[in-house]
Amino acid sequence: MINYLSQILVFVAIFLLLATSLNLVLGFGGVFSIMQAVFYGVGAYAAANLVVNLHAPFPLDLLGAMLVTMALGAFVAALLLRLRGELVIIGTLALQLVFSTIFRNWNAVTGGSYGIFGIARPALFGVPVSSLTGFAAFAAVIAAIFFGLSLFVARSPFGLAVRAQREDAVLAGTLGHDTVRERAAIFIIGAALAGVAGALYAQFIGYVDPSSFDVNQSLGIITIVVVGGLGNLWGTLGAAVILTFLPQLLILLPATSAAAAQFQLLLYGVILVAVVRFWPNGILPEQPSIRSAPARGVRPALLGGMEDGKALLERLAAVTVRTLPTTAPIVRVEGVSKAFGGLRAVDDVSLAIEPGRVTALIGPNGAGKTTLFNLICGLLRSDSGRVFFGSQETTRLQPFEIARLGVTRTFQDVRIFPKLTALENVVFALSSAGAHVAERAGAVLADVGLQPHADRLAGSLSYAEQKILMMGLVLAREDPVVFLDEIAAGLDHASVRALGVLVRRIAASGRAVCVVEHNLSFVWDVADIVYVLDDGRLIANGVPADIQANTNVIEIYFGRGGAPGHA
Amino acid sequence: MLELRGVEAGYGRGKTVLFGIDLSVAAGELALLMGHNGAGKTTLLRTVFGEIIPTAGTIAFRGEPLRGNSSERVRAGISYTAGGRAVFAGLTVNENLAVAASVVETNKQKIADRRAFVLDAFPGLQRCLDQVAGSMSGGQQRMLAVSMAVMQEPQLLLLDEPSLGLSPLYVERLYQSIADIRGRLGLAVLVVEQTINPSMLAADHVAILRMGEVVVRGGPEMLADSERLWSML
Amino acid sequence: MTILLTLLLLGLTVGSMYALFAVSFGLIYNVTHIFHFAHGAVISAGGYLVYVLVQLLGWPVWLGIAAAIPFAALLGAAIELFFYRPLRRRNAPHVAFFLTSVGILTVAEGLFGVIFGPGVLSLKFLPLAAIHIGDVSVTTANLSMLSAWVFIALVVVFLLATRSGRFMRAVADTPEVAKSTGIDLEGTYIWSFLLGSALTVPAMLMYAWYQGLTPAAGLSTILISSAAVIIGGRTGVLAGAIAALGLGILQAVAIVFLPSGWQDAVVFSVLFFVIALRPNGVFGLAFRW
Repeated sequence: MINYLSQILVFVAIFLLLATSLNLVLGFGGVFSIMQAVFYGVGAYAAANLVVNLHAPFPLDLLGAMLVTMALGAFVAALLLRLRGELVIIGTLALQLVFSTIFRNWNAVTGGSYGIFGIARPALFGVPVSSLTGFAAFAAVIAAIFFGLSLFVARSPFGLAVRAQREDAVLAGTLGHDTVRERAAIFIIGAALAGVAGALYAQFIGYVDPSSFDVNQSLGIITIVVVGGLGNLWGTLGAAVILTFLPQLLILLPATSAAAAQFQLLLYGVILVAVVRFWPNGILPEQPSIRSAPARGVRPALLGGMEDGKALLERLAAVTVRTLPTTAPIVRVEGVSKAFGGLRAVDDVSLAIEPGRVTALIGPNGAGKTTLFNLICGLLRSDSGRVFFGSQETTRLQPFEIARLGVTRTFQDVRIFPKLTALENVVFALSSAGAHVAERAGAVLADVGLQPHADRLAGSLSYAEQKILMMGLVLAREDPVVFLDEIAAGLDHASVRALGVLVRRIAASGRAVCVVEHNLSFVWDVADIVYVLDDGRLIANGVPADIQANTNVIEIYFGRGGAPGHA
Repeated sequence: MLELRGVEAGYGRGKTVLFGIDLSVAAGELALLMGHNGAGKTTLLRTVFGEIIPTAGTIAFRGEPLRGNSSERVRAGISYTAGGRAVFAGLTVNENLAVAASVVETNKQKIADRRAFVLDAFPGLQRCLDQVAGSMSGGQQRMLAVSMAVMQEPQLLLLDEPSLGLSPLYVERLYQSIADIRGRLGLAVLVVEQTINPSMLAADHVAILRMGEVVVRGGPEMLADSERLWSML
Repeated sequence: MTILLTLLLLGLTVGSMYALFAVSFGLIYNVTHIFHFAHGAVISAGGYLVYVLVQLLGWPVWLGIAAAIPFAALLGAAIELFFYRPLRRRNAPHVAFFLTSVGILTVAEGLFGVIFGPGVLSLKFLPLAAIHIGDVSVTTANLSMLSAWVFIALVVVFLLATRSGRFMRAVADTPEVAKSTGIDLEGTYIWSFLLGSALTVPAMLMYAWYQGLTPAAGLSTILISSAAVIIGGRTGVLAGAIAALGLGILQAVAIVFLPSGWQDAVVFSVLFFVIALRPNGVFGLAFRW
């Protein structure tokens, strides 16, 4: 009995590691990989070769397996991780199938279909861990160590960053994160963990063959992660225990024992479909990595009505804006152009955004305002021209590099991380890590009036509250340069007015502020200098009063409905 | 034909875009609604079309409260041309027209008759019948998009910024065709636009939409007074 | 030379069968944008039904096939109706569709394994005989695969000439415009599931004639079909069909160059490189149907 339980415990340990590795990659990282069994197999074959051919002792067997899988993980990440969505699924699936063939045929390294025999158990401090119970204890300790490390990663700022890029990689980039690197890193960590599981497996069974590392295994690991809950590691622990014990029942029950393998497939399939349908969050939902201090008193209800939202927005006018200690740089745009196919979206535009003032970009629909914004912030590559932040040229920089120079950029409408809490959103946005990040974030939330909602998912907030949160992110970053893309959208008069007051105060604190707006009354109230775009070209600039009276500008809104050369 | 009273609509979570809209369009009328981006023009059309459910107010079509999803509203006689490239880029002009028509009509002869009518009203398409829609110019695609809606022989036609991105010549042609069809079929047309073109003087009445509210109503002569309009937008 | 001709013929015939599978999958994928892995469950279900009806219950072959076709069609439509539609209604993320699909495929593989056992079943009413054409010999199973193009032609006619077919092409082209035109999207989805699933029956019979019936057949066929559709590019069903034909030929000819056992890697290596380098597929946006 003890022996039987020990055996199961070893498999629980192995599947816990495998499922944890995939949860980090898929649940946290959002990378839909169907090739986790490949890393499992590579780890197993690596350990097998190290032990059988090189007599590698513990912990070199484990570490060797990890190194090999990490190298493979890095290679795959470089090729595939630029892609998103379904393409990652299919790409990893393709690799899983290619590797299944490699495992079955590369006789020199894997022993082909016959596999590798005679893998010895490891020895700790000279004592071989040969008994079943001994190995079970060993496996449990290894699993506990790596599970603990995974928990640590999940709760760390890196873990938060990985979850943020899963939600919205573009937004995370504009907040200064190199999301490609972060995605690759979590993928490689996942590969390493799966490699450890493989090494454990190889040394437990003493024999490895390709059938354990095929696509069905990858799918089985996915099932465990989904059942446990994407993004929750404790759920993964529970699911690993349940889903390792459950198939044992199938072997024991006389009705199912003859076709136990097939029944297991059937069972896993049913579980997967049922969980996705009825409990899409799995056993346990994702937990935030950071919580605010416990709230006193009763939790307030969701502010849905316009009255409450308005009240909060109007409060924005009075929010603290710290004066900038140094002078903000001048943002200079020189002769920037961008064409899409035959369409010149931005045509030889030059302008300057100066500190202490609000610069506005206006123009009819399709004039190129947001395209220009995207070009300045690095989200689009210009065809010609240059952009400078102070003396630093930023023309070819990535969005995250420009963000790190001290630029905050908001997107049209509202764009925040819906599955992170309000507090996590602010923590993530804070430019520097360092001490007291949680306190600083909490203070920002309190300032904008969202403290009671600090631990609520940002996606569950009302539109007005989300807009306030977005402004909270801007204020938290305290960057010298601020770009605001149509922040007045979807708000009523009083809210727009309050927002306008806030924008003017941000500029007054010494920062360089640029707004893109359709709401012209907002622009006249807020802007110090206005640039007018039409058809990608700058046709006028000056103070609001001059622009309002400028007949050319009036004409582009009312005169021609578009320049010739369009149809 | 179409009557909106006190309509409020938005996109969930408290984002209200339209506040208390009163609007009516009679048969044979061309109503023009002007406003900037974010004023709620597209939201208004999508609410009439059935893609957005209003949170307050009533919409009546031919005297009856308007119900059903967009598919059902098309069959009830409301056709919609969305903004941008509202055509099937991979299908030919003929196929685009056929698809649009077959949503409401299965009789081949009737579809053929409608096609003849549409090609008469939009002569520019006659030459491109077998051309793949995606390879045509922006202006031609816009013509096709509007013709597709007309192929459905609607009683109410909703057009979302049909002049956007078109040269003045094309805008003129487009509005001429619309006026022609309006005259011949007696249908009601509700057009939203952001910029004015002289051809729009064909409108019967004009309303200005600003931050979700109708701020001014009047006749087409309002369009000529651009200074005043500018201050209102 | 004879070897090359034999291999070429092998590749052409097997590739034709792959093409039919690819068209059946592509019809659903292009229209609904769902990576319908559960298609494999429909594929194997149809095969096992014919086996039960004809081989076990003694029905005439034509009747068995005639019963399997609507059965497969309805099974596919039922998956859309009872599994995908509820997910769509609650705005579930893409992965939820894929996971459900994979789950259904796994259930099928397990279920058929339990009922029929994991071994290979051969369809005795489809005898394997060798036919000689000059120096080259080919099996009856392979010859039957050429009939795939008849079915594919019928599909093309359907897509071009019928109202539902046109709606399917419209929805596949631009779903947003289809909505503004008032096309009933979910109705069109059902049609694509019906048609795509019905096509699996002749394809599965060719497969079973050639390789026999196993519970894992659904998985292998869906892997090839989806690979072909992705490699071809998502624009039209013919793109997937031609890519599938190419894969079949490549796989057969690879026997000459690769040590045995490695051919399986050919298809999926191609898939991997296409994904990494040309995610829009080899043909890009060239096909219209």
